[in-house]
Formats: sequence, structure tokens, C-alpha cells
Amino acid sequence: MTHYLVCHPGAGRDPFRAWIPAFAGMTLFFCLLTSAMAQEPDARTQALYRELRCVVCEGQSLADSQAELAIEMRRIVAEKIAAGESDDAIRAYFVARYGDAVLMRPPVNASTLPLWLAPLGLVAMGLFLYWRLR
Amino acid sequence: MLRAAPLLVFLALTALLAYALLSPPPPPQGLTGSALPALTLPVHRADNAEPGPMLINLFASWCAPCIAELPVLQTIEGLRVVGIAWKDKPQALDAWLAKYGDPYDAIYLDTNGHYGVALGMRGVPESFLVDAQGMIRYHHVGVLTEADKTKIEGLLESLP
Repeated sequence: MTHYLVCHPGAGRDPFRAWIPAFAGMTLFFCLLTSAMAQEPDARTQALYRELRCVVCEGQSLADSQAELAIEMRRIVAEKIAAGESDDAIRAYFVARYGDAVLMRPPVNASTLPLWLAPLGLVAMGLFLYWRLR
Repeated sequence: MLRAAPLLVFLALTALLAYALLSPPPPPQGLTGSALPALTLPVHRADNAEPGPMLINLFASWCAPCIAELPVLQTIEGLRVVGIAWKDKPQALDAWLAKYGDPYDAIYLDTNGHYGVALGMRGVPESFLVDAQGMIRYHHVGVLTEADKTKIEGLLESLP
């Protein structure tokens, strides 16, 4: 690239042009370096982050929260995945400690069944009453 | 009767939800009834006592409410008090204990906070009554009051 230094008509007036390839190269280098260092978690890890609730901020999942406890819980999830644990085992680890409430999607069981069935029951009752009172 | 049905259902639902909303939330169950996760944390103060029941107390020198329970921990009887400093620095810890009083028979450092999560903690302070066999018998969230101390001493006596 010394081409710019000796032959380019603008070289004498604008010495910085010589540095453009060097700057471009450096920019590319740092872009690649930072993207390699960022280590975005893989899809499986991110899916677990979205499934688990931040226990100190209720409305948010681990993926959304920057609470100190949520950050450590994310690290624990990542460590367990690296240790070869299954998704079910990781979910069970947190449920044993924080209860079903730690799951963003509550499981269907005896205590949550009314939650899932009540809306259907209310709609059915409404339709029945509409039909009888019309 | 049929015309009154929607109103009755609405009132019944309101009563049910009001009851659920106004009754106090159940105490955290978590690991109560299971074994204490192995204490492999860095030791800040060695535990030289005989094995027996203990009160695991999660605390931190940056936690202002933790100061309030130090006198309660100092006077609790029949067990040893094991402190787990959650996300704390040893120097800050020593200065804080020297200033406000030191109830701990042993202290471990949970620097990255992962042991706290293994216990099912939500924040400091929290306390766990652990029997001589290493089983968690009671999990208390928040500052320990004199009444909580009486309750824990009572639980301790009921242990086999």
C-alpha cells in the first residue's frame, strides 16, 4: 500500500491517506476481537434464561434482569450446562430451591389447575346463560 | 335464579380472590427438610466447635438491616452461629464486625454468591436452622427478631 505514499496525486497534500489502510485493518481487527470476546450464550442457554424467573424482581426472567442475584443465577445455569446437566435437571435445581414460581410458565398441577380452567369455565357459563336468557 | 347466577359467581370469585390476597403468603419451603449443601466455601474463621445443631446466617457488611439482628444472634442459645458472608470482602467484614458486634462461631466466604443460591436465598439476611444430622429444619427470611429467636430455640428443643 505504499502506492499512496509515492504515486497518488494527493499524497503530498494529505499524508493521512497513507494511514487509511492501517486504520481500516485495526478497526477490523478490534471488531473481530471484541465479537470473539463477547461470547453470546448459545440458543439453549438463552432459552433457559427466558424460562427462569428472577426471584427478586418477579416480573422479569433471568434474561431480562440485571439484578445481582439474577446475574449469578445466569452464571450458575451456564456452569451447569457446561458441566453437562440436562435442561430438566437445571429447572429442577431451581424449583427445589425457589418453588414453581421460579418458572416463568407455571406448570399444570393440582394447585394451578383452576388458573388454567377458570377462564374456559367462565366462557362456557357465559355462553350457557346467553343461550338460556336470550 | 338464573339471572342472578352471574352476580353470584362474580361475588364468589371476588371473595375467593380477596381471601387469597389478604391471607399471609406461605413461608418459603425451599430446602427445608433436605440436607444442607456441602460447606466447601473458603473459611474466614475456622469452625472448631463440636458437631451439633447450628444456625446458618447469610449476611453481608454492606447490608444495613443485618446490623439489627446481630444482638439477637449474640444471645441465641443451644447452637452455634455460622455466618456466611454473601458477596463481601474480608477486610470490610472484619471492620464491620469490630464496629457492630460479632456473634459468629465460624465464618465462610460466599464471594460469588453461588452458595446462597444453592440454599435458595433471595437476599440478606436469611437464616437456616440445621440439625445435628445436617438437615435444614427451618428457613427464615429477613431480620431475626427476639420473637424469631424464641421460635428457633423452641424448634431446637423439639428436634430429636
